Amino acid sequence: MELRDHAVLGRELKDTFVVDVHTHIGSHNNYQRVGTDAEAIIHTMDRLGVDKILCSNSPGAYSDLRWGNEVAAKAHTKYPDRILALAVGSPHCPEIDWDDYFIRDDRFFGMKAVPFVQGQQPIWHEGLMPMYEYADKKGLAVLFHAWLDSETRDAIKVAKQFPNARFILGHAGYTAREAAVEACKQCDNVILETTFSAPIEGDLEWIVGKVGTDRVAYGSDLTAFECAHILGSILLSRLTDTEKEKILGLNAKAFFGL
Amino acid sequence: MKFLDARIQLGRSCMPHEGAPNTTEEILEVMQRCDIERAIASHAIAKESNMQAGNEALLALTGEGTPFLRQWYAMPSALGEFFSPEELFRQMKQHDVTSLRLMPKKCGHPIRPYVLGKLMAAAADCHVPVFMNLHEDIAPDELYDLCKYYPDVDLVICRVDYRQNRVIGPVLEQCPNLYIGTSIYVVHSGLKLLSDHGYTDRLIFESGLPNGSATAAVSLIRYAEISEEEKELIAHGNMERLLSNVRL
Repeated sequence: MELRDHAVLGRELKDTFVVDVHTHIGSHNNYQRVGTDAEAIIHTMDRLGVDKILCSNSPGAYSDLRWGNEVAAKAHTKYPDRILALAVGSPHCPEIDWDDYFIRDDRFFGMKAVPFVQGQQPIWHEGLMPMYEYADKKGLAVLFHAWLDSETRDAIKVAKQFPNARFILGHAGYTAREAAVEACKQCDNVILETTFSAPIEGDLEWIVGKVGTDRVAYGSDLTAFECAHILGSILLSRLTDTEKEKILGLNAKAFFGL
Repeated sequence: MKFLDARIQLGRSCMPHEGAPNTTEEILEVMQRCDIERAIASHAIAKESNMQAGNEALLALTGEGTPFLRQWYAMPSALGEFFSPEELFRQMKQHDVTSLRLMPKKCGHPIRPYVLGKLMAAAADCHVPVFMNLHEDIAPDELYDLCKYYPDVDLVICRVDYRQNRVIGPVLEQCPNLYIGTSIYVVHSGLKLLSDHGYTDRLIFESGLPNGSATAAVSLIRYAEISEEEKELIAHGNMERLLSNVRL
């Protein structure tokens, strides 16, 4: 059975290691989100054959970070092999003691920075530097919301300044795809993530053609979005099964040492 | 599972997207890869610049011997710049054009009956479904009025995005003539949610090729947590039912 056959039949992937590097737990006022608790997420992962997810709390990013991060941490505690929690930072909270998350608390895997929803602040922001410095010191993963060209350009500056941290550029390869290509050329510590709510046919093949198969990792933005459309678009793409396996999980495994 | 795609565009766009399937041959390759057997097609020229020229150009690319069903763009014509409704539907019958697409925003006309009434009355008489894209052609808060102004017209609204449940929920409930295109309806478990609320027969598969993703759009349906029968309705059955009602 080829990988595409799973998508044709709507069946879960069984013998393929799949990591979704961009997911969210928790509901938000801004639009109706469905199935946002840990159980619903695990149910979806099982239905599609997703082994692990990197997961941050969505509403907490917009308001109380500690409250939101605790939601993600509790999900990890409940499903330690499946849900890897990301602690969300903020340019408005430079005083965060990251030891609270990564020394005195062992439930977090990495970090998430989405300053765009925190007053439309840039990724290159003085208030986020302590977070990046900590990630650099510990070699942590940091997921960026890199939808805009300016966000992606900022992410390049951060990745160059903090070479020991490992950065995921969320939503890369769509609206800011030229900048995403540039990020891969300039920074070995960057990987591109695949999610888009309104993808265009051929975009995956285009970005893989530009940056190589090793620099792209599956992400879905679950539960802000469905996750099947991006998973299926990878499985039904013109890439080979070897390339698909890398994007679906092997690249994340190597990049994050999973 | 085979698909009837309710929205594709043929013809060269003024802004072809690098990497996308920008020729008919490339679109056919994607359709084959996604098990899309047939597709309702309109023409880029009709959308981007000149309706009549684009509608005419569509004829050469579609119809018998192709997998494409014809869709024309239309606009109201009080002062004679476009076909009268009578002439439009006569030509549609002649050329086997079975659906229409409107662009109120782009063409700068309101959706209210004093402008669209005659055209919509003719569509209702012939049971011709009328398509629009959300946001691009009509705002979410216009949907309810559109459906109420024209209760006898089957309205297929494409490109309904993940942020619209609080609009489409009430409109689906109160307006039986609203149909939702699924191409970018990427609400987590969204198709199951709408099916659980009894709206399976109001969902229409559309990809938006070449400016959308067919591989993503078919996967939303194939992986949905709904029955195979419900998937078949969304993939092709609902659109086939609407087209079977057309009487030109």
